[in-house]
Amino acid sequence: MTPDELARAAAKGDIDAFETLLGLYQNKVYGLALRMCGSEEDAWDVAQEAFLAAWRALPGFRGESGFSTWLYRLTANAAIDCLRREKKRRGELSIEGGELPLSLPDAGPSPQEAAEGGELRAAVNAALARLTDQHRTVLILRELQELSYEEIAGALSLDLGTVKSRISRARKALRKILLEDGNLSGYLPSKDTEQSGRGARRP
Amino acid sequence: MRPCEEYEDLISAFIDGVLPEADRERLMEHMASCPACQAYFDDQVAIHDAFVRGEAPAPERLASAVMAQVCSTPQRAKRKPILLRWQSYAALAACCALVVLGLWRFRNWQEERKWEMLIENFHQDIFVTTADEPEAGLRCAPEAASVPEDEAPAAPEAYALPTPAAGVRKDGAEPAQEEPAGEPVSLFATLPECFLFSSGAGAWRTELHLNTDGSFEGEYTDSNMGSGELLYCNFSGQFSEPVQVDEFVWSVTVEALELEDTPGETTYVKADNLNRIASTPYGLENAKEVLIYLPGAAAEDLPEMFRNWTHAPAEGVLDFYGLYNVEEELGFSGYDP
Repeated sequence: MTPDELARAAAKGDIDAFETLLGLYQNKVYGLALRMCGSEEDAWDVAQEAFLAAWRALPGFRGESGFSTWLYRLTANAAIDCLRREKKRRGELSIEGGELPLSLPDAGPSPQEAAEGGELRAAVNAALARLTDQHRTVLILRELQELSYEEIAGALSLDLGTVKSRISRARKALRKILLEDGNLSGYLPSKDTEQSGRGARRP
Repeated sequence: MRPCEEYEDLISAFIDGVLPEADRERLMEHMASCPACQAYFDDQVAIHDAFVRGEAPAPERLASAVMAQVCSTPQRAKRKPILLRWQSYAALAACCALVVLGLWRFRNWQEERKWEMLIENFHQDIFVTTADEPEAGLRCAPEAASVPEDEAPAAPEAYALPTPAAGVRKDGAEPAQEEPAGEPVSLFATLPECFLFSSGAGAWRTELHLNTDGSFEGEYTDSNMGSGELLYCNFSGQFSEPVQVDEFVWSVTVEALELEDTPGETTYVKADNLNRIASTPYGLENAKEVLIYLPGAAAEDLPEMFRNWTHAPAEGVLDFYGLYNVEEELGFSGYDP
């Protein structure tokens, strides 16, 4: 049975079908939750919340976007909700622009990876945690969960154009953080340079 | 857009492998003469390569923990949001009918038995037509049966889906959940047309008329009785694209808010012997984030100030749509005119 067929069976109350879906997607859901929340404890809660929300809402699942996209959306929403609660708890008013207190989990570079730029790897991981929730979410979905633009659009209820531009903005913001921290050897062009579209090649 | 910003977008699309051939050539041509973009390209490729991909394995206990809860959690029955409204009307009609019939009975003692039977039949009709649909079958029925269903009767489950339910109310069309999906329906199109902010006791009110594209117009009026003054504010604005917070809560920000007249501006209306004084949009003042609450939201999760303003129940679930100005802790309740 395909995931969508399993979802249709689960929508009719088939618990075995749901358990199969759980087995298929638990790593993806947990991975997304972990990357978005930054703590194993929160990821555990968010993953459970997402699966439970899926189980409850499955009878209304209409299936246009595919089960996985829908599940991603529930997970991303649960994670954003979790981040908001966390920020509220810490007394922050706005979700945007806040920094996560925790660094994102790092699978750890292999010796070869370490030799080939493990430093940048760690820096990217840390910089990701300093992006706004909006930018971080879209980059996690694209770069780490490797979702297509269409899947991201479905998961975040955005149109394709917004997904495209948001990913681009997020990449730009990420690079800016890395440049400011000295983790990239490039330079930041001046406003005038950018406006003229010209500049000197970096050393 | 600055000249190079366009190329940043092209570089991003290139990295994701979705840049059309023609744009790719244009990008390469540009980079040959723009070192800044070449540097941007190099950095973005390095960053892309530095992401640690792959799955983070879920803890072994996750599946069993989820399944334990699944077994004691009923699925929401597939119901149409519009049913709630119909049920409300039916219940209201039943109440009115009972009051009318009660009066009638008072005047017609001799016909008492006949009317009692009619009332009884009416009750049965209502009960039959508004009875809950059976819950979806559950394998873990014994546990499920002991768990009270605390969901809203018509919690709009499809709002949690990528394309919200086609149960659109504004054009009066019937919900068409069974129909194949067309264009995704905006959340705004599923919300009531009007939201009211008022204390219910004062001589003031703020009405907000919401459009399907998230734009809105509204009016605040305060008659300040006896003073010969009328405070008013005609305003319009735009909410951002809704972001779902959880099953029954969405978040928007006020992207634009314009006032027709400058606050303080006074116009004397001779016919009414009244000074009309332009004011601020009470209820939306300082609004940044606005939360949209859908029917079915757990009352205990709602901010106390929202419940106070809208007289929402303190227990159970919300049975109307609400807007909440997070900054000012003010609540609007939705209604259809």
